[in-house]
Amino acid sequence: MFGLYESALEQMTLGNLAMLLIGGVLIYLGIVKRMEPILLVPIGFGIFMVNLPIAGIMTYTPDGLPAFGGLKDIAEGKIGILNLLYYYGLETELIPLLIFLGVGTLMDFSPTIARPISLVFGATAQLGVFVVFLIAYLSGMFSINESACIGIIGGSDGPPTVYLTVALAPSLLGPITMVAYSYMALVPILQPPVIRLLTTEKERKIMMKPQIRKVSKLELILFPIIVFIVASLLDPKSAPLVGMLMFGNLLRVSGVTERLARAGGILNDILILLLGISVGSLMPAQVFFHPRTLLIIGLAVLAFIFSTAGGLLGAKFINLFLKEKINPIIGAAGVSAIPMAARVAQIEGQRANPKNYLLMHALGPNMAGAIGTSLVAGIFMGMLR
Amino acid sequence: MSEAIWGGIQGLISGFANLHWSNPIMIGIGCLLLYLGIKKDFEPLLLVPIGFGAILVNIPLAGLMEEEGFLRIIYDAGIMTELFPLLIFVGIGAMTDFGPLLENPKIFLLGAAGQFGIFLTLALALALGFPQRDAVAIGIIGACDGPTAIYVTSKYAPHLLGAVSVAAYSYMSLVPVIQPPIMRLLTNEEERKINMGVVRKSVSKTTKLLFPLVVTVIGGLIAPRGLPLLGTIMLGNLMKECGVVGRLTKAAENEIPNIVTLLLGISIGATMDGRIFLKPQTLIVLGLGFLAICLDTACGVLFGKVMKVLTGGKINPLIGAAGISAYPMSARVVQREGQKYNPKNYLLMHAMGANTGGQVGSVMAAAVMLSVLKGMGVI
Amino acid sequence: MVNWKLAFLISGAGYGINILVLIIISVIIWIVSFMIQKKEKAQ
Repeated sequence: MFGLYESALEQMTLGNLAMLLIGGVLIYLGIVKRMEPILLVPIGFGIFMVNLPIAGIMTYTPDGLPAFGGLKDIAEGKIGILNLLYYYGLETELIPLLIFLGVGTLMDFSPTIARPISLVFGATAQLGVFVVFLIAYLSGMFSINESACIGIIGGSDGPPTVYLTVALAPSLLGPITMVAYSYMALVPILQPPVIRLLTTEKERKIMMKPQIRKVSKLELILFPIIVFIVASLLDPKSAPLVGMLMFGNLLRVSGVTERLARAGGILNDILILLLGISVGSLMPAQVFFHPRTLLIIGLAVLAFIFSTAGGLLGAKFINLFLKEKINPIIGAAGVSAIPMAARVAQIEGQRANPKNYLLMHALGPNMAGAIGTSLVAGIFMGMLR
Repeated sequence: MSEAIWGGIQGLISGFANLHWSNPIMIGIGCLLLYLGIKKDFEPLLLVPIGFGAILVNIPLAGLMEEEGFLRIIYDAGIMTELFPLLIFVGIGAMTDFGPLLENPKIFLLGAAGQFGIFLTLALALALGFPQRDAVAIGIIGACDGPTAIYVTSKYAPHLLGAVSVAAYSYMSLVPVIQPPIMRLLTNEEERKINMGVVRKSVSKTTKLLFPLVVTVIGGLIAPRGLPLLGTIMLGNLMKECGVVGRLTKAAENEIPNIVTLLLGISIGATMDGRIFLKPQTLIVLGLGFLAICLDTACGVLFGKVMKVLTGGKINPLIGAAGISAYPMSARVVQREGQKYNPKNYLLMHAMGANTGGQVGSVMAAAVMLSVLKGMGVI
Repeated sequence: MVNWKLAFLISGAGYGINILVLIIISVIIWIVSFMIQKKEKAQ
């Protein structure tokens, strides 16, 4: 302005304005509507920060990825501080893996151990991942790697989604992560219709005893160790994800490492904040406004629907072999939106049979879903890297 | 790309196909560490992450310690840079109360005596043919202090990091078992009964504030190589004593060491790749480490006897055993043993003095050792 | 160029392996749980 003062107003594009609006929407959804606020608020703010031109808090290469540089380059203005955060936190996979460790310290696997078949529901509920992978790739709009990352949104689990996308399709990290975390809150809306469609009234009424078996401390301790060793030997590329999740869980159940389990919780808080800001900073206007982003949003809905279906059908299938039938609704909880999907199962169960209390049973597959998503991420890594 | 797909399908077997013979053994050792930590309560805050890290790194093909692997990144960021042990040391300094030591400064000599095990073991390791840098790392197990051992070993003999840390932390847990027999062997009934009375003098706040400063400056001038260690523990102590940086002190005592210990543990475990760890020299290292701690205890007690003679029978040699840096376990062991022989004896405070003296002593010993060896051109 | 065969191969094999691995894990967990419960009942 007048050759004396540099303001950003002239450099603002229409795209920037639209992104500021979107950032505002995310913050609104987080604060007012309470949808995953610890993530949506930082993401929204990250979007703000990079859509205000010239500030240079994040600089990009011509193909839209964050530029790489060292500490000196910040002082020289070639890169911004968020570039470093991206490279040392996200590109190294450090942030998603340590967040997953924190998640592990918060999980109680007793319902899963009490009914080991829950693990299989956690696997069948990954159906949406592969269905969307097929649709995305066969539509011709996305490369095979990108399709895998869009598919993994159906796993309904943040850290594996980030982990896979950083490895296979970093240019889509912003939109995919944003969609993944926003949609998890929509699970209570998307699941019930699918549940009602794929199960009969009679099946939904199946009564399950309110108490799950009491699980001993030894079982709680052996579970993470066994799961990790077996999963890593059979699917080595999933070792980082499964390892961190199980390690966090071990810290929680061992009983003697409470300080470390708490550390996992604190790490979680710090890193989710940093993750949010990094992800938001990946969405300057020129990256976001692309028909592909809108497609991703649509495909994510499909992914959740098919994953729910996968879980339900898996449960119905297993039921054929069981004398004491389980209520197939809990299969839908194999979608790893913890604990939302389990609550949905509880509500749908009560709607069909007011005396039924499915929450505890549903938590089994719910947690198992996290393991399932990690395995799938590992499988994709193994096949596509 | 089809090969990649078939590779993925064969992936179910490839994990097993690529198992080196050492991997299952190391996974077993990792599980053993977990067992020791969880079931037997051996320093769980460290043995559990180390055990898990050891399992992580021995899964074939997962590549966690490779160039870009995420464990390698944590390792490079925290251990290669020495950041982790030093941050923990700040916390330790913030949790240590040097009052009892300052009230009876001659007890500090016991803290020095308790470090002889380090040098004796260093000599023994050299005699056994270990290269000089390795011998330094083996000797430092005798310091009985986690961060010091990690600092020295990662700097001078990183390939021994797994063995040294496991030894250091396991033996620290075994102090209540290792020390009493040695204490009983080297003292007679009459000595053990010596009543040391209650600590009377109180130390002024100024003294407590000046102590960390003075120690840092003088220690740093005498043995500069150890200043990172000495400086950080004294910084923590200063923060605690000055009383005006409560939030920082709290963070240094809680959040920071919790997170750092977690990451440190996994990184150490990550160095325990079977191909590096399962060598005959690892067993020797473990054995020598054990010996170092026994020698520490012996020297401390023997020097305690000397001091008893010099002070005309006022000092109970048992507190010499607390001259090692296993704080505060060793002090509690001395207290228990003292009460066993003379129920009216309350040795805890005196033992704490010796223990904290040992804390400083071990850092000084490490610093001196490093400075001497540097001067000789060995490192 | 969209490779249909590849896509179906990845999805089918991927989904299949995923389910298979979790079946194996659940069987092992079930066996271990069973043994622990038996031991506790005997005590």
